[in-house]
Amino acid sequence: MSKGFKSEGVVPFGATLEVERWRLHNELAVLLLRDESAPVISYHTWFRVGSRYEEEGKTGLAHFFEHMMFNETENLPWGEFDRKMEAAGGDTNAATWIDWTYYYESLPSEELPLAIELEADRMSNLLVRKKQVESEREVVANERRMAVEDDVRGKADELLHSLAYGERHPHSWPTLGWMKDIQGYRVADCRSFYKTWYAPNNATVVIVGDLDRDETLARLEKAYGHLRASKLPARPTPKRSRQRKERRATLRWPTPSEKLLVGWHSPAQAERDQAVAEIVHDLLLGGRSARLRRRLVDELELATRLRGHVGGLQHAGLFDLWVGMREGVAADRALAVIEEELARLRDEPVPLAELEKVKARSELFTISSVETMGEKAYQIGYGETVLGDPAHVFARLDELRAVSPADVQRVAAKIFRPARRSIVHVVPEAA
Amino acid sequence: MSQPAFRTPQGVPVFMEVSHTLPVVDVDVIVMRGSLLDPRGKEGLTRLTARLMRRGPKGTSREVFDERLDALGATLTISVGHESMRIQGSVIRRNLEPFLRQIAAVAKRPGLRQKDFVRLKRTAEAELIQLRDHDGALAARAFRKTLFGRHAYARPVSGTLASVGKVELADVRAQHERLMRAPHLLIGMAGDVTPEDAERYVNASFSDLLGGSTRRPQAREPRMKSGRHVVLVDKPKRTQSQVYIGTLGLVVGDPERHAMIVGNTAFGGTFTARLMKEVRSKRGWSYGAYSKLGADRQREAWSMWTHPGADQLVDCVRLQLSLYEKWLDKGLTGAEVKRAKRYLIKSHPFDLETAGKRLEPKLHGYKHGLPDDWFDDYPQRVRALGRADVNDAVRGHLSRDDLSIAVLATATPELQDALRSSAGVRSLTVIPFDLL
Repeated sequence: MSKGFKSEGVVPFGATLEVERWRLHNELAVLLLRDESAPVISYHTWFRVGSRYEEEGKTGLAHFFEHMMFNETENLPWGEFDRKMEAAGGDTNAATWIDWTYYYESLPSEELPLAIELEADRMSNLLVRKKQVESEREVVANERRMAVEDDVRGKADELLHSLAYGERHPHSWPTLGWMKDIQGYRVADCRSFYKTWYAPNNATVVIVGDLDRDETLARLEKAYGHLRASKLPARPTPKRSRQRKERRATLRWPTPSEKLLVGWHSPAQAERDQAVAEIVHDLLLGGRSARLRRRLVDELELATRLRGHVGGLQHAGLFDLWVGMREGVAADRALAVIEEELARLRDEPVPLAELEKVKARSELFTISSVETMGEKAYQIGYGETVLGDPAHVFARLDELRAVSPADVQRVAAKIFRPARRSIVHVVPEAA
Repeated sequence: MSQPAFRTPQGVPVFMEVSHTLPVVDVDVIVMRGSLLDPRGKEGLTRLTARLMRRGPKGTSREVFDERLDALGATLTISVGHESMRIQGSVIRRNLEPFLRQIAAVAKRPGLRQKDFVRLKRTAEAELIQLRDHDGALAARAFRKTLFGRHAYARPVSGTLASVGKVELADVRAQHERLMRAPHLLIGMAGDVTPEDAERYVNASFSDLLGGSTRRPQAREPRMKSGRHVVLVDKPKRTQSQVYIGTLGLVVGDPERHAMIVGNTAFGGTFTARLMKEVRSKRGWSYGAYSKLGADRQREAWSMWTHPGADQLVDCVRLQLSLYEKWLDKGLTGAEVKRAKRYLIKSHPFDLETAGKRLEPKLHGYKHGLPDDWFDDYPQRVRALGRADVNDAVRGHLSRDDLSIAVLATATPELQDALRSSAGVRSLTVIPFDLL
């Protein structure tokens, strides 16, 4: 048994698996899940830093750093990280969101030592120099063009978040960052960001797969044990957005039809009401028989596309609805139907059969979300980073099963207040 | 050829991959006929047929059918390709039997109601209009049109506004009858189900199918126009472009397929491949830069895809062309071939990680009549390849000079001139984005 690690117990993960919690002396958290169903492993490193930790003028830095982490280190020349991963048959990538940044490797089991070696190396030895910053700047600018500048949904999303949170709230700026900020990053900004946030006491390593626990812990201690904890800045809770009246914006865009993006403030992920909000989302949009889908797309034929998303953040988030109207149909007509359906949710108890139907879908999607090693590692990493519970996916399923018709009415009344909504109306612009 | 776990009394082969890890079962019903059967001028017919089938069986309204599936904790989609239709779903284990009954009912006796058809046509037309928002999809459509010309593979599976408008309900009903016959079917089940239960449920649900011929319709071999031809899809105010460059690829079962996979992997299949290294890593011109090797019953497309900023578009196209020429002229280095082989062999366990992934090659192998060892021997076949095998296969299959180049961008006169003067380009056609 590795001496540098302290056991922090075991958490059941579904009916047959369990997550072991370990803590290294420098505060690196390690979560291990042994699953021998395939000869592969998934290695995740979750950092508790995302776009909400950025400052105005330096937005997008967390995401920019996600790119930087694939560059050279003191021990590894440029391109070598990816070359070694591919030579091992591995797949590697990363993602950044408001609360977190994570990196993953999927590898054959025997290549676990490589993941440990390379991840530990780039946690402390990354070279942050002008050359690397400049080469990534253009890639990230192109990513932004793809996801926002030429994409109506991306642009509308940015506008909605600005409207709903107000300019100074850290959820108001895009994870990709504003283009002017991307163009303005200095090497010193990047170094400071790295030094502050990329440290063992701000990270959780999650390993899922066909692994030997003692050998894995010993390797982890050897690779990470010498890294020093950083002095992490205070993490103030973002001030709740005090929205007291509806906010609206119009976006003119070269598109064939009107679009509507509506957002309401919604609970934090840890709140039980968030589970209810997820049920509300599925009552409206989950599956073909969901209320809004049936009315807007099928019966009234007002819209072709309907998407929704609800929260998922450490602090209060947004419940948003995206409606792609049919050509020539005014978005106001969809808004009127949405208002009717929200009023129904508030005013009438949901029939039990309808609620059970939504819960059955949730069960299928929960089970399907932990099929591969990578999916398990994602759920564990996300649960631990955002909620402090690596088995959150199963705890949430229990909460979803317990939602009652009265819960639905109460939470619908709480979330869908007209004064607390923001609306982006996309209007076709003549070519 | 892959051997099924069992056959129904009517001879429909059923393939299985059992796993009791999670209480979920995936079900696939593959119809080995696809949109190639669409009559010219009625492109989109098979897809409309699939979508109308999805609206429920006879005697069950669309609304009730959707409610039933959702209440079972099930998902169900029906998709269409050129060569096949696929009814695909997942369900919580305890509801497998009723779920199979619903799938079988919708496959054998769909309602195909006039009321639903009229609405579906309007929906399909509205979706084709919405496609104008999706630059990547527009560029891909233009690419296939240029590459395959008058060949059936050029015809979009979802049709066009004009062709969908011509489809009648009688066409859909006839198409369903033509497609859904026992000799055309292939069933797959993966997940938490025993072979005994699977056989009992499937035999109970998939009986009394229509009979028919096993002979599959065959598209003729596609032929390209000689030379390099550019189609420029003109869309206003683009800050970024979409670029597809390609030529004819492979037929499924081609004996040199493994060599081609290695070649494509080294050229544009991974993050360290030549294309990504030169376009993104060195120059930062495009967030993504990949090549794809297609294979079907006739030669599918080989293509490379990038999406450079508008300012970098011309340089990026020229770089891609020069990389492609160099790949064909000088081949890959021994080190590149070795790296690609190693990656493909070492990553192979991920192709077998879940029951669903393990089922896939069995279905694919049967559908295309591939030998038993085609997938099982994959690592050995890749390992046995040398540098010359790979480079010879690439040169033998991909045309250096006959290329289709589809670009979506704002078509300024300067851009048109620059593309027209790129190496080997014989023609440039500009198409407004809303006329695709």
